Amino acid sequence: MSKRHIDESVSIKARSSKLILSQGGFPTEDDIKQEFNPITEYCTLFHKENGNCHWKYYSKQNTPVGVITARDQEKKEWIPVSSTGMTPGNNGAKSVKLNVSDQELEKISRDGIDGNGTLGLSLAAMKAIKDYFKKLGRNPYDIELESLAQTWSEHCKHNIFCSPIDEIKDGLYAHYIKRATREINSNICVSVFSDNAGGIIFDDDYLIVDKVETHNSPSALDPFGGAMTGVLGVNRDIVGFGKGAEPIMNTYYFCFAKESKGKLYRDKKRTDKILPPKYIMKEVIHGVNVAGNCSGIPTQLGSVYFDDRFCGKPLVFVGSIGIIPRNINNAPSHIKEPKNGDKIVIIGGRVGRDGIHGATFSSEALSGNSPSTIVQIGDPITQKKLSNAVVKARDLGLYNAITDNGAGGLSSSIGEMGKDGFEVDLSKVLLKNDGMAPWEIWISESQERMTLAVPEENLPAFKQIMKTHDVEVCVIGEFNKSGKAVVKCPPGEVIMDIETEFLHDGNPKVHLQTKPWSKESAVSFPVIPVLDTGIQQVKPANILRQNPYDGRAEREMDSSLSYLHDTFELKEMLSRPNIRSKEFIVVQYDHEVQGSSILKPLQGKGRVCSEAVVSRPVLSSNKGVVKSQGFGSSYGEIDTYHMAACAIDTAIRNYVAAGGNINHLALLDNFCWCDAYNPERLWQLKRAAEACYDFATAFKTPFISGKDSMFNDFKGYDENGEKVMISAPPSLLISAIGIIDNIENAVSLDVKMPGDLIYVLGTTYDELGRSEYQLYSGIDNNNVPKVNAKSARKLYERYNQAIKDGIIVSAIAPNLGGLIIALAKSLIAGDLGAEIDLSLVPIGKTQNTDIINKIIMFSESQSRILVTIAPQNQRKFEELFKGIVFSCIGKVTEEKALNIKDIIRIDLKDLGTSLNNF
Amino acid sequence: MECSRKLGINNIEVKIVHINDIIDNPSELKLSNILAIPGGFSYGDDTGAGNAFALRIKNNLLDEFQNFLSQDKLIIGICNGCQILVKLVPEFSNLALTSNDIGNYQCRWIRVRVNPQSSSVWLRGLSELYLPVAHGEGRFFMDQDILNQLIENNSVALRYVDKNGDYANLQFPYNPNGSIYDLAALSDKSGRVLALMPHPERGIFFTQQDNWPLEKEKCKRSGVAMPKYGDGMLIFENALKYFA
Repeated sequence: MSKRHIDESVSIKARSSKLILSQGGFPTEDDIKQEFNPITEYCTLFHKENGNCHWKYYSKQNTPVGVITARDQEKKEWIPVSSTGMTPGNNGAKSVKLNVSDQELEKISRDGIDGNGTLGLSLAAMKAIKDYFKKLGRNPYDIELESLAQTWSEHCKHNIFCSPIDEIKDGLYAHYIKRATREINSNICVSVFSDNAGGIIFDDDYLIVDKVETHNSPSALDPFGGAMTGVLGVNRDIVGFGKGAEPIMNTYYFCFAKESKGKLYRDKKRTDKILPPKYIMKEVIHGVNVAGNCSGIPTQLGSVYFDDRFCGKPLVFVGSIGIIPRNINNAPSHIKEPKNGDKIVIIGGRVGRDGIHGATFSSEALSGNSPSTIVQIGDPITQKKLSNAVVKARDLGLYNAITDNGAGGLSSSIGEMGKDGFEVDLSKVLLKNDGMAPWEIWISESQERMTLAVPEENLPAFKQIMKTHDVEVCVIGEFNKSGKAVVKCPPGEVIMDIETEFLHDGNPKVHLQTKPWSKESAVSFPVIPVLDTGIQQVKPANILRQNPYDGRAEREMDSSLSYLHDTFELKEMLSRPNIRSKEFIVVQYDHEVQGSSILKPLQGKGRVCSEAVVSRPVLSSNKGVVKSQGFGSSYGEIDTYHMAACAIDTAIRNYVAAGGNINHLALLDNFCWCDAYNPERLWQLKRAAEACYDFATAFKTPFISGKDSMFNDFKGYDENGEKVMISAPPSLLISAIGIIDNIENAVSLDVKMPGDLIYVLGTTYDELGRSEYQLYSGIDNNNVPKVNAKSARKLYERYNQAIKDGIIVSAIAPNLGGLIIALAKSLIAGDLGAEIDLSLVPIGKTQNTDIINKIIMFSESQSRILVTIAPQNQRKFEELFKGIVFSCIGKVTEEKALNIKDIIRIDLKDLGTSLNNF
Repeated sequence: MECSRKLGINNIEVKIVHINDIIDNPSELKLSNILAIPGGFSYGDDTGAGNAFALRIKNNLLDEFQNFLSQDKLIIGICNGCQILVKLVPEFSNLALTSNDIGNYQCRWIRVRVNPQSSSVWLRGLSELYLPVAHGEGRFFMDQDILNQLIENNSVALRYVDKNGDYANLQFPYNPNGSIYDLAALSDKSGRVLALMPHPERGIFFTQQDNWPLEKEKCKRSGVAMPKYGDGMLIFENALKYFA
């Protein structure tokens, strides 16, 4: 809405409601309670009886009928939002006494200043702050303490990833991730690890930049708001890259529980139940929908992974790719720095009480103390106007630096930009809430804001552009070279004055120690206990009941029974939550906006979900961006080293299979760990980071950006009031970003012509450990897939050549479920059948010869690609792949059925029904 | 955005103009021959798709808009632009675009057939088109007598068809939103105004189509070159021909 239509003298209270229409009978109270989130919404039920109107009110504390009126409750729970004339509170900043006992210091850190919410600082950090202010000869103001807590938080400083650990003095991040990139020294890298996103060369004129974030804790409390602000936030990272890039694609990866076994509560009294997994999933999907669709950014790639240990904390990965000219106004676009005297300018949304303590909160597990106000409120429209305006100002060269306001708010953005010093007057900040304390204004994570360094002489032109785009501007201070971080509020009154060096580097280093992860605490089959919560995971007993033939009995079965059994298994495998189609999500996301989509998230007539996409961001060029993902989680139960290696190979082979150039490829790492102070979890983390180094260097694929989230644990109570902790399994999302020289060479996964030959590239090993098939069947096997980067790289290089020669007709990288699932997907997508012979599949050594067909069909061995080619190209193809392991295993048929020699014959229709069974 | 790239392809001057800039400087509109209101969640669709944008024109630019309408100039409203046009063009009153009957947003490729009796300048010489839709509120809805009137006036421009080219008969996914009479687009009587839900500007190049990898392989095996352009291009070419 334009300001011209608002009477600014009237304060507006805004609230929204939603209308849910349903069919069938009258819903029960429980049904209704599934439809709202008591943390962010309230619900009043009315019903008429004997002419009287009765009502019931539901909110966070499940209030009994009629005891508390909606009006009273509202005051406690809801933040009034009005639009004009907001001023900071009169109280100003408060001085905090730090000359107290260690115990007191810990209490201040845990409960916050006057119980204002956790600071999340260690005792060592609190003591360092105490000493610093002792030296200054005064007590700190609340805003100084909050600012330090935010700057030193896990979210902003990545303490765990950066601290010395065991023999590694420089920490995992520097030692494994950054070192890999440095040693690879790739000429495609332009901006790595130093900006809001990583940037690589696209062509002579443009860079592509990429960033992936997680928004797990907010999504657990407010799945819709959390997911939406996640997408908007990562898009602002793109807008805040260099001098300002433009988002061209959003990606996502969600990890949910299918269901939560038993009831879980955040509090001991058991009034504050966690949100049901189904609700979380629905709302997260919707949040990403609103954020991407309303921003005009295509959401092109993503998937969902289920594990019931995600019931307390879902993982919500959101990514954004952007594009930026390499040079703007004759200067490299990725270099930015505020100049001495530049004005500190805030544009976009106003500052409110939403999202206070989001950053410090990331240092903790979710528990009953978690405040709901940490979740920010997103507004895609404001952000859209903001991004358009930024690009206009950028092209006119009106500012020297720009960054996003994300976690930590102004404290973080100004602190980062003003490393040499700054002075801010907080009373100049535009607010949406009345009476905010200065520290609240300073660390609020209200969304849709950017901080810029604008030379004074450019201010009038800058303000004019913002006005045209309906974007609010406030000038709140100046960058300088004083080496001091100074904040005033009210004007003239200094409430923060600390050295920027202490602000950024004063955090005492902790030397972390690890202890090998013991497999005993890992899994055993057929039932997987999840730590000590008594909650059980997967392997539903009813599958065994439906399916009386387990692996051991197989040899004794006569062939017809075995045939039925294999067919049944294949269908059940296709229907597993982690394998079945996610089409219902994909169609809700506009992946066609901007007209750039070339290889789409749904491919072939059968509309099968793909794991790599190709986009053409510059329509006058035939070059395309290729993007894919590889997710590691399950194999980590055996060894996180191989889990990470597989995640890297998965991302790369998905990328390569679609046609991506292996020599023009960069990776992003997103670690989501749990219980990260536990030495065994740290050991797992170290193993995974080590694999990142080993395989990135072996594949020669540099990391350009990454993020970690270390405390994905739920701490609460079960239905008996017993304490429980549910840790999300250690997980790693690897994203691959790169290019294809000619988009017309991109290859989709659907088989295309009857008579085409089906080839497997790469070797299949006895690697059923932690595979989807093992989780389904309970078959005994501890071999997780391993990666041989050297042979894989050679295969991928040859494959690149085959792509250039145009001889690959269809390609799919076998993933969860293995080779046969990949083949089934290709056939369903192409609406054609196939005849294959499993004995032709090249396999590695195995002792388990009695389950050899299971291994061939379902083993999740890495570095394999399943392709089809035209028969007339057979000689050329085999020549090209000489020296690589490959085999022709059959051909595509007109008959719409999958025929596996001596094992299975199943109609394509049945395969499709199983895959699309959501 | 992509809309401008499409129009710009054949050396025609195209400007992306922010609605606020036109309000400040309405002469932009006077100097132009074609007005394209593109898709894209104007104002987030927060008060119903296209409502806020349509009101913005009504309150600030109604005279200029009506002027444009009455002259020998062309207007195309795509998706969100279509939702905006049905609120602005008098001939399209008494009808609405409501939520897809499937209950959620749909992004997919569909087939539409051009009404052979249509007088639309934009659709001259065209029969069947393959284009993407991407909308949550794309279902044309109106009383039967309003529909009859539209049919009689040949205002029906495009209708959804199934893979055999027969009218979709409300069947999902061929008719992706449950639109009455399988309606996908309307034309005004003059044929100069086209309001359509599918996105021709996202179907300009052949490689934008979701089926291009298969079609490319077919072309290759029969020894012909893959087409360069998609069906969306034809619509814009018609508009340029009109002024040629």
